[in-house]
Amino acid sequence: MNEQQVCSLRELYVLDGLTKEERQMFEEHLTNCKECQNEISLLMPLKDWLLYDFEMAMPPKDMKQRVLKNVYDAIDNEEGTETVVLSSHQINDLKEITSVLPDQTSNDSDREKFGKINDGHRIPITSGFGKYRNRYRWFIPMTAAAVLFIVSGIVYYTENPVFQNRSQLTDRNPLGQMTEAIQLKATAQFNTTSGQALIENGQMGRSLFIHFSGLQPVYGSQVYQVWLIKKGQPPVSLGVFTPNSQGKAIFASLIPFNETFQTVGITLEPRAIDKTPKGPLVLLGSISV
Amino acid sequence: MVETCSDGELLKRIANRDRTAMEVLYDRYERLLYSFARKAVPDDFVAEEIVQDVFIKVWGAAHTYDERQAKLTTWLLTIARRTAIDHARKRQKLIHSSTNDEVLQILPDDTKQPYEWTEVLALRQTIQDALNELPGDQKLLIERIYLQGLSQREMAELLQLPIGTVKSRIRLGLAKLKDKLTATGWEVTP
Repeated sequence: MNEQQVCSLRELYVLDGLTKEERQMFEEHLTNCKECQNEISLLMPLKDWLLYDFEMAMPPKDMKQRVLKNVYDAIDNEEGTETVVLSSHQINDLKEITSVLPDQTSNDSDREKFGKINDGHRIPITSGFGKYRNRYRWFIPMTAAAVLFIVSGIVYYTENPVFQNRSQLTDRNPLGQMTEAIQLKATAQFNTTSGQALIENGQMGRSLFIHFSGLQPVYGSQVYQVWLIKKGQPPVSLGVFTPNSQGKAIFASLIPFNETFQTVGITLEPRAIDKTPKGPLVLLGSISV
Repeated sequence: MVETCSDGELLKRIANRDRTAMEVLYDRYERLLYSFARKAVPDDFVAEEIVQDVFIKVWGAAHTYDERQAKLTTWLLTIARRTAIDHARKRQKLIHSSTNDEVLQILPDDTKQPYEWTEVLALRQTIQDALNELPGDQKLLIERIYLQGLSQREMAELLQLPIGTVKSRIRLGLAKLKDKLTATGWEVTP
């Protein structure tokens, strides 16, 4: 790109309309181009003006209550332990999820430690999404890479008969060692949905891949959310996803180190930032990771 | 009384984890932020989510606000714009790709505004008057790129125009906008 072409990017620079590479190139150019420096200084105040280009709209009823509750939940989750009160349908979801597991927390002290799900409807969220997100923030780019990798891997797995038999899974699998393949069970409300989960042991650690089909479309801020559950403890979110227009999706995530889980559950959540399941259960499966 | 605190005082209190101050700030700016979010995204739920994310960010960044650098409304709207663009990028397939002005079809402004809104409404009127004098495609390009984070390439595809034409229309549009705002008193910046 010659000097004149780079100069032609300045209006887009002001509007934040350049790609990262274009912006870097323009900023290098800007250090030496007096004309661009002058123009940019004149145009920059437009950015603040444009922020006021909106029509007045009336917030929905009860928005304050919802927003502040979610804000405080997020803040509490980021800053430390907080006890939250669950609604009755969340409790039912949790009961449904945890009831498939053997009871490993039968004594009272363990129940206190893991939360009074049954009698108090309260659970700690210290192992919820906020802490998890901080702890595993470095997973994000790896997960993105894994998603790309698994697209070919899932196709390979589903189309190659050798992978239909778990005993034949070997280290030669391009995904690492596939240790478990599970067909998830759909709940009655979502009986057209199916999900096939694969557990892989690779160099980055344990990974969970799920291939979905027949997913109902999402509306507004709805997302599907994947949870791992250990008996008696609050679910740990592995992330959210939305299906394509054919109701298909592929989800991939690393599994937290040094932790064991017995169940994987997928819920349809009203929004992406919830720290505990709030929407209905869609799929469920027993795993051993 | 927290309710009578200045915006700067409220931010200081929020930086010290005062939730009452947070609620007062919310009451003052809920409608401003929701209105902006509704302009940026054509979805009530996502707009609410954007407002929510803005307040989460305000809680974490209140200590960085410097009232000598920017008006609080400008600071909040800057956070809201970035948040809206993040949401739009995450949910690109849910964003309308049509070029009509559906996004702008919002409730009429028929409620009495509190005193604090006077300045915001004046700024809004000024920029909208200036934008409305631009040819429709120039206005659309500026709004979509700035408020929804679309790239020049995406806009070129959306409008089926060469990238060079997109650039030149934006250049012309911003130049006219600058002239019109200068004529109305450029020194009164937000």
